[in-house]
Amino acid sequence: MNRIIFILFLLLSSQAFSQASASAKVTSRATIIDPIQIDKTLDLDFGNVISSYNPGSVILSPDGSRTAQGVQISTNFPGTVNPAEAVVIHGNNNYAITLPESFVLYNSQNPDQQLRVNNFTVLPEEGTISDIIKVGATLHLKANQASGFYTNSAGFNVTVSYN
Amino acid sequence: MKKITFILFALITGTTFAQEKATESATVHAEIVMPISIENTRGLNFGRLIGTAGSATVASTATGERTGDSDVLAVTGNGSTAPQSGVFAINAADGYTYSVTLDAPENLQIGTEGATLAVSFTHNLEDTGNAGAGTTDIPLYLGGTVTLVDQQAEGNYSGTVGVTVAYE
Repeated sequence: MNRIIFILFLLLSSQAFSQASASAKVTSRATIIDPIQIDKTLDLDFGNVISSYNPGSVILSPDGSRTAQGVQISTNFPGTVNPAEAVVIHGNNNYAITLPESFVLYNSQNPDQQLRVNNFTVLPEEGTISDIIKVGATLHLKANQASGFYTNSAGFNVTVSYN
Repeated sequence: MKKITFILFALITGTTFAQEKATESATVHAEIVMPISIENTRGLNFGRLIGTAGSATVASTATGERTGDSDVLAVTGNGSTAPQSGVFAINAADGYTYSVTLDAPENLQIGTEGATLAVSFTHNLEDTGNAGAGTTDIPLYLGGTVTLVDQQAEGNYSGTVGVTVAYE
């Protein structure tokens, strides 16, 4: 803000020196917008995935559908499956969404067993002053991935910023 | 003057937007389920039969008792092998259900081009809705019935039965 005041001062003062007397009016405007805000409403859950003797992956789309490649997913016992969901309050201003490159999940019983998550994708459901954004990702399993519950309490960050 | 106004406006608004961002974090969960597996630990054997019209059945139980037409059933001995059911060990995750599918031939055969012997198979599990038990072996007993014709050709008949288990 100090820098802004300084520039304005120079511009006005240069006009004052060029003539004996002069006056000018400047109309200054400012548009204040509310800070952008994001509030998570759902964590990302890949549900149950059946390990395989070969590597594989599960793509969880932002619409909540799953696609398995090289591994199986049970149709009768899918578990809890949902993309991450958050509400972005933007006041009808443009904004950008920043997602992580990758993320690691750890087996709750054996942290040496890990799962890699990457290829985060996002689908905004646009509203007037707020959007609901849904985030999917791809889960990668190694061959003979140990069974168990995997998570990472640190969570992954989703950052929204005005353009 | 308009330019100044514009610059000023741009500076103010530019500064306001540039620092506005917000971050939220979400956790990720996944539950990995053990793969389902099946291993054959014992073959199905109908034992020695007399080649006359009739049938013999090996039960799909652990002991695999053999029953059938008395004319067909021969006593064991003289080098014959004891009738027994086939046995498979299944491992499936606890809390999940699985289906069982047989890929069974309609005939046993002597060699690859010899005489055939009509056969059908049964097992002790359900076709669908079987409960997994984690790393505890679940036995699948394979039984069957062979149906002989009169003057059934003498020889050793064999065939291969595929058993597939799949999570539902």
